[in-house]
Amino acid sequence: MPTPKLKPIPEQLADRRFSFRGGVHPPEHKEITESLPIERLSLPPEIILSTAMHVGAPAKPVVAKKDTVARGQLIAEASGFVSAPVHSPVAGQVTDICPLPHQSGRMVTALRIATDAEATEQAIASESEQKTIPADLDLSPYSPEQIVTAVKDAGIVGLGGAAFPSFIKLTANPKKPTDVVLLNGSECEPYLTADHRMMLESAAAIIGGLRLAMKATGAPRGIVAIEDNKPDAIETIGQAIAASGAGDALSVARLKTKYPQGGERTLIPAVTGRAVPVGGFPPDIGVCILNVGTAAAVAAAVVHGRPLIERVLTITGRGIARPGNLLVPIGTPLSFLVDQRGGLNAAAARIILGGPMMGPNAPALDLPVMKGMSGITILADEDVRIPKEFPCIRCGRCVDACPLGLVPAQIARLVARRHIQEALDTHLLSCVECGTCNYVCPSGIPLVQYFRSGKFLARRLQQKS
Amino acid sequence: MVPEEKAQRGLFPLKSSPHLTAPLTTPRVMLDVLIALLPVTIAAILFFRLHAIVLILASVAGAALAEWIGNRLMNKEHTLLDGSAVVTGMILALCLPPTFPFYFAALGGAVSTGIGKMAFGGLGYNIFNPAMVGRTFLTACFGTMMTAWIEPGTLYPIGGGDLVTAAGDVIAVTAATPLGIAKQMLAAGDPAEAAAIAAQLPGPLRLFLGNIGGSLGETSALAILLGSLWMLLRRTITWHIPAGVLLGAFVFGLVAWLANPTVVADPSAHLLGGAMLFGAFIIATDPVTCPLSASGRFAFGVGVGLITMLIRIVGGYPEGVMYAVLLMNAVTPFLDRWTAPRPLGLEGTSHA
Repeated sequence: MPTPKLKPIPEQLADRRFSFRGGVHPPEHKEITESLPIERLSLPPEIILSTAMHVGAPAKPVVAKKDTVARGQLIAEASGFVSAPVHSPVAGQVTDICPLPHQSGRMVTALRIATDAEATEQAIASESEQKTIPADLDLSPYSPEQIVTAVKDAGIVGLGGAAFPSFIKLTANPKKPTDVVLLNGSECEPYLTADHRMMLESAAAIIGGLRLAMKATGAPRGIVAIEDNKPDAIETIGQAIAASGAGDALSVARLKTKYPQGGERTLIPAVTGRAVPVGGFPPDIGVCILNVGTAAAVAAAVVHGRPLIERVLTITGRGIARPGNLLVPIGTPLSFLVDQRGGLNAAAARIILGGPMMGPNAPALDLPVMKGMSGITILADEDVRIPKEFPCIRCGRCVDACPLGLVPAQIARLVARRHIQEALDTHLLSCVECGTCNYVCPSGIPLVQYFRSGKFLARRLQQKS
Repeated sequence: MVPEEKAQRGLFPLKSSPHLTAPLTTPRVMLDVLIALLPVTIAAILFFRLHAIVLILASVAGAALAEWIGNRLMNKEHTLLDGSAVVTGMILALCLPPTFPFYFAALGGAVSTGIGKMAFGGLGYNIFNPAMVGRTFLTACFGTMMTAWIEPGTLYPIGGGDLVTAAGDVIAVTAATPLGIAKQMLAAGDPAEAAAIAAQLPGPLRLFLGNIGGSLGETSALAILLGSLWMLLRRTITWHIPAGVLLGAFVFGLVAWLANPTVVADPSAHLLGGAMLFGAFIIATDPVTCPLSASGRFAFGVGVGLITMLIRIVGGYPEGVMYAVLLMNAVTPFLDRWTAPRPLGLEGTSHA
């Protein structure tokens, strides 16, 4: 396929407010945690590291049971091209390597590590001086290849939730030149504020990561896209851009606060005017898109050689005693995390891994924190309305709200009748399961559930033929 | 059970995302339609007094009863509380002439939901507008009674029948509807006769405020627009269908009028008279039987407007909204197919 002619990105972004067609305005409830600074969670006595914390082939353990590991040590290596290695966030001993509950609902091989608190604390203390990234980071020591290798070896995956190995996005492809790196700081999911706090507290690292990503991909421009419900983040990132000394190539794009503004297929067209082709990906239109937290992790990996062993997440909702934004070791059991935040409130009704619009939910707290887990939202009874289901009255609200221009009611109807081929022809696979249609449906039809089962049935259909 | 124990045992419910839903529900949508029908209903009661009340109650009762029986026969859960049967009954009643016998109105209501909706599987599955199915049935069976128009505010006995008693007392004044007048103009032998007939047309202001001959709900444009404004604000309906209907009707009416101004009534009489506004805002906007996408809804509206005017000016009946809506209902699946939005990122689309 010849490279399509790409629309040029507008030079001046400052006075504009970008948005997309459709979308919804669910109650945000960001006030619960948006003003709480990021705290470091105390060390969990045990860490559970799944080998499937990323899109692609599960990592292969390289340590054995009873091995002693150090903080930051590689414990499972990438297997295959689309894969990511795993490192231990604690010093301690591997107690078991066995299948354990995974957020997909399946059992997946995981490593249990008993924390040696003293050794880990020491390691953390010795890291403290290399935590910061200078505002005017000098990029000259790092070649594009070095950046990609550092990111690959650090096991960095998309921290916004998709968990796609980041080094693949950063590898320059001569056939598909990248002309812009877009940092996604929209954080459109209700409740979550981890990216917001990261932008306020680690702006220099984020901008450093952005510039490294631009160098790796060869993109001349970098844009940080932020919803306008975070004016302080827009300001802080703007200042960090000014302090970076690379201000000409970098800019902030102010986005209208609307769900799902932060989905890549809505964000990219909103800012660049280029739609991601159906069945294609952002690189097809010259865009490399990363979450702001991922950019900060890229900077830490390249500059300090730090693997991805910790992340910032939001624990929030009316179901948790003490909500907050936390820096947690990856692999922290949710039960420990919840205990540390005062436990569940009596009204706790639903445990969501991520935000309430797209996050999968869990029946229990026996899962660990994953690399892509941007938050834990624990909703109370009063937040969760289980709508009575009525037949579709074809009101068209889902059609008007779908940010991707699909006809959700029609696709769901076809899936319900097992007309999978017709559902595929009606663009079932274009659906990103953002839940916008489901949110507005007055008939309470579980549309997203239909799309998921439709995709499952489509895969089965493919396997048969 | 304390939440800790619930978490321990893995008893938190598993649900597919999203975990939040907007507060609007189907019964609330139906309630919004009923609220929108209030001004029209009040106008009908003001103009036609007890007769309006009796007709509305009868029609709603018929519609509700048929729905109840339908669910009973199909062993389905009862659905009266979703409010759709009441809406259907109300709309049918508001499309009836004030002298119409109440027992036939009840029958019409029963046909509306029984045949128009339940026979197709209930709410959401019908392809034709239920109220219009009921009204077509009544027109076919009781044609004369369906076109007996009276002057608002004049007295007549409940149950219709003769407008003049045996003793010769006039108990109600028959009235020509604007569309009846328009039809007479078309049938007139010479321009002078047509002009004489045209002089009977009520002026635009009277057409707008109402208090003219016609069905219960169609006489006051003002009341219809008030209710419609509520539905537009609540997004119960969107502007696409009403705009399409009015545009289609206006263009057709204007061309016909300009071509032959002596025998064709001017477009304002066609837009404000008869069921045009009630049809555009309240009948044609039934979500179940109109297309899903915005462009589809607009095309649907234009079709309703054009067919209505075709019937009014070229066809045999003075009014055509009912048949126009039913005909466009029949092509709704095709409109859905032709006007389906293109997914973002499919070749040829860009950021909208």
